[in-house]
Amino acid sequence: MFEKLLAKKYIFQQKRHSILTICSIASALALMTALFMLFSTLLSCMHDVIYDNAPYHYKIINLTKDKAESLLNLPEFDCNMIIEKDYTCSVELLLKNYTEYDYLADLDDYWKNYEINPEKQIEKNRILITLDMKDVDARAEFAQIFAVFYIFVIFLALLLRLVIDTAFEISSKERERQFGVLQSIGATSQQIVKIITFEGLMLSAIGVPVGTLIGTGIGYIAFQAILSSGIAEACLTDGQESLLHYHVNIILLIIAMITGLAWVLFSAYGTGMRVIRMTPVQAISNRSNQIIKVRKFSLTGLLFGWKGRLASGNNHRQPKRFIITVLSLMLSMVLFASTSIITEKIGLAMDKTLEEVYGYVDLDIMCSTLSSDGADGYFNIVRQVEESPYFTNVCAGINLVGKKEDTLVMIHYVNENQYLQDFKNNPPVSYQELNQSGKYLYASGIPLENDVYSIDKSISYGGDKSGFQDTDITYPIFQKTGIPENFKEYYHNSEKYVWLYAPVELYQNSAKDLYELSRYSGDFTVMLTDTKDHDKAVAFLRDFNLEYIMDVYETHHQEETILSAVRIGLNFLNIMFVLIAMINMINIISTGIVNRKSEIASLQSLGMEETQLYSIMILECFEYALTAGGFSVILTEFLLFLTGRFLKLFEVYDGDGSVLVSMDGMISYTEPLPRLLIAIILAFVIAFLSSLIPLRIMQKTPITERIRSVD
Amino acid sequence: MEFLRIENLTKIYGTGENQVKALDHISFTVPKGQMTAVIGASGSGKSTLLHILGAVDTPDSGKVYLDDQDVFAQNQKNLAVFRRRQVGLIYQFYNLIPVLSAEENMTLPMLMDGRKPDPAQVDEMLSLMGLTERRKHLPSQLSGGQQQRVSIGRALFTSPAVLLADEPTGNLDSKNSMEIMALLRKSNQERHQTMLIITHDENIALQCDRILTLSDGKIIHDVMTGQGGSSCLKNY
Repeated sequence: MFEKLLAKKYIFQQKRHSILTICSIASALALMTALFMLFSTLLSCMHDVIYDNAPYHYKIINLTKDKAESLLNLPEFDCNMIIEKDYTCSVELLLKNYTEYDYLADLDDYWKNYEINPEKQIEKNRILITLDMKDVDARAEFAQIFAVFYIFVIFLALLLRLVIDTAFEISSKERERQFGVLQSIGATSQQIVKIITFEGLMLSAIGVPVGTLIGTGIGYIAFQAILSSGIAEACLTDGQESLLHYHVNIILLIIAMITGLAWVLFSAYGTGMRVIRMTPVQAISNRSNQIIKVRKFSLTGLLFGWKGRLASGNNHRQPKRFIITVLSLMLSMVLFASTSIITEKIGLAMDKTLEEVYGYVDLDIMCSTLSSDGADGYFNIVRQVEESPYFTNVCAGINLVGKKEDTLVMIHYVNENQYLQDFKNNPPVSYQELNQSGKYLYASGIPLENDVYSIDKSISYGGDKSGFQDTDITYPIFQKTGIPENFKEYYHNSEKYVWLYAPVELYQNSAKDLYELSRYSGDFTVMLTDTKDHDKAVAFLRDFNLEYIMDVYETHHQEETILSAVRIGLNFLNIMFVLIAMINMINIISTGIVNRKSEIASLQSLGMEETQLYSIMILECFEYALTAGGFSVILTEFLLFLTGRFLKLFEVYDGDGSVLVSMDGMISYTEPLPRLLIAIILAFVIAFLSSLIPLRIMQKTPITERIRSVD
Repeated sequence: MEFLRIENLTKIYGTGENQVKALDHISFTVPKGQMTAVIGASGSGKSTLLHILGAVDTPDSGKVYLDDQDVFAQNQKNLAVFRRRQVGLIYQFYNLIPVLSAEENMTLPMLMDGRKPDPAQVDEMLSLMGLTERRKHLPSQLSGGQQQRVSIGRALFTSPAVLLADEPTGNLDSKNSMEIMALLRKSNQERHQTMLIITHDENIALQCDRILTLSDGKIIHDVMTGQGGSSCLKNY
């Protein structure tokens, strides 16, 4: 067959083009395969973790041992009996085959035969059933997940096809004249199409497997990068890390290869069909019969005159390609700009929520004592914590709440760290001065007439205050007053209140006797001296048998880890889009230059200077970058708006529905603009280089040869 | 009075055994306003001569003087300026810019020169070329004859000193060919432009003032026809 022979000859003679086409096929396949493998790995990891937590589709609980043993031979299931902590027995069931029924919702009679009450005795593991696709609903749910993924893949695949398409076009454009000659000496259109299609087939024999292999490798690297964020340790229980492994799904691998091969054949066939639309004379003389539709109006033309008009006309010769390139550029720009902003904002929102909920962000662990030794026990624990090498900035305080008529009285005995933290290192009186005076600092509340304040009702929080109940206690008040940070935010309801601060030594020296507390609980917060000692520090605290330990560091760490994993995933996606966009743009722009070889020479023969030629190229690239950039700004702003709505989910409300933690002001619509500007400049530079290089090469050929388009 | 002077022009393609002398030490002069036909077999060097005269190609040796100015003594930038101001090029396949309308194609050399076309001049040229109704059409929306008229309009628009046409009627039927030649002749007479026309068509050649015949890169005949002066034959 001469078609095969010629296809082979072309491949070996046009080594540069063949390598470019193979690289395009391989890169397209690599990106698609990597995405497929990451998807299958995600599903596989989800499946394994869920199976590890609950290795059943259905579980029958609250059974006696005899009953459980009698259920081990259910024909539809693989059964496993387990003994629970409360010594009851359970049977874990895994469906052997696909079923049309939901065994929990649809088959009451089935269970009644075995004297089991499905409502009370059966637990269903819906996610595992879905991932195993074991029933009708599961298949529908799985189809939904896959559909969302596939829509994304289809979009990606369309962009990738363009990469392959342009590679073929570049290669065949160079040979249009030869195809014209072949046709003129008797080759049929079908034979020309066959030559190009065979060529595509032969090139994909290398490009497809190489791309698949590289894609599997890229997927593995991306997976390892995500794991390196520590997400497994942060989100899974001990031992489950080993369940996370890279999963090469053969079916998806084959789908990727078939899709890639199909794209190559479509591209080759499409290119062949385009070539044969020209008559042999047109092909030989490099005169296309393609009708060019040019827009009547272009902004570039309006702004830059005839150069702009030429540039815009050139860009819009193939509107579909222009749109797809702009679209892929736009997506990569938006991802580039929004990835960091969105993750940063979510991180900030989480921090803000933690700050408001726990009071501060500059703490790692918050503890509350449950000491039956009274205040002595509390102070003993605080002292040991302060002396421990694991902690720094130990903030301790005792809160007492009392009532005087309709006024709420808060007395806060604090150590120096807590005092300074509450007043943000700027207290109205120094801790030492307050301590030496033996007085209370009137922080805020109803106006005072004298330098004393007294309450006569029992303290409602902090333990047994029997000796205090009917005693009218007078507090000497320091003349200066101060408002601790966030004070009003905590108490902005209409209730009257008085807030008093005192050094913790005052409590130890006098208040303890005054209140005669027999049982006492107090809070303290710490920061870790070295986060590496986190586990040891927590273990140290656990030895005190505290009421609770709120591990804010762990929460922070988890949050950071999840954000880091999300960031890695988004960046991987971003790199993929950037690569596709760049390959597309480079291909399209350089093809555009090659295709206009004769036309550019004509312009030069009419007297166009090189600088004018480069100006037109700059305007073409400018239009690409600016169009994509303009749409990117719109899309990014829209995404930011959606992010703002999403952040509202992190807002914290108090009982009466008013906002305690507001996310207003977290979104700045001007923030992505500098990043987008960088992306636009980057796109412009790459676009210009893509046109400059072929143009410089082209300039080495005399104008007369280029006008004739001699191969 | 000689306007265009060619001295010992040589152009060689290839090297060694593959060397082809496209132009072999040719010399001739053309007076201002003369319409000269260049004929010859394929590969005789006609197009090479035209391209060198239009400064789109460079000679290996020899000189081209236009109005006593050495064309190739100029740098690349000035050569480009020379092409758009002094030369009008007409190709067999028109070489129009497909994304520009007939009017824009016509005015392109002037736009390149940073000048604003005079609307009255544009209208006049469109009218002269019979393209008034088609001024906004793209080349793909025009017939071959119309496209060639756009190409001629483009070549004439800047009123160049020399007009070079490479088989301007080679792609047209006889009716269109006659119209195109009439246009060129009219422009030659009215604007007193010097013209060199490459053609294979004897009838076209006979409409010119002079016929140069090239063979293997040399001028073998130089004939003055009855059109513009006395008929004489100069043998080389």
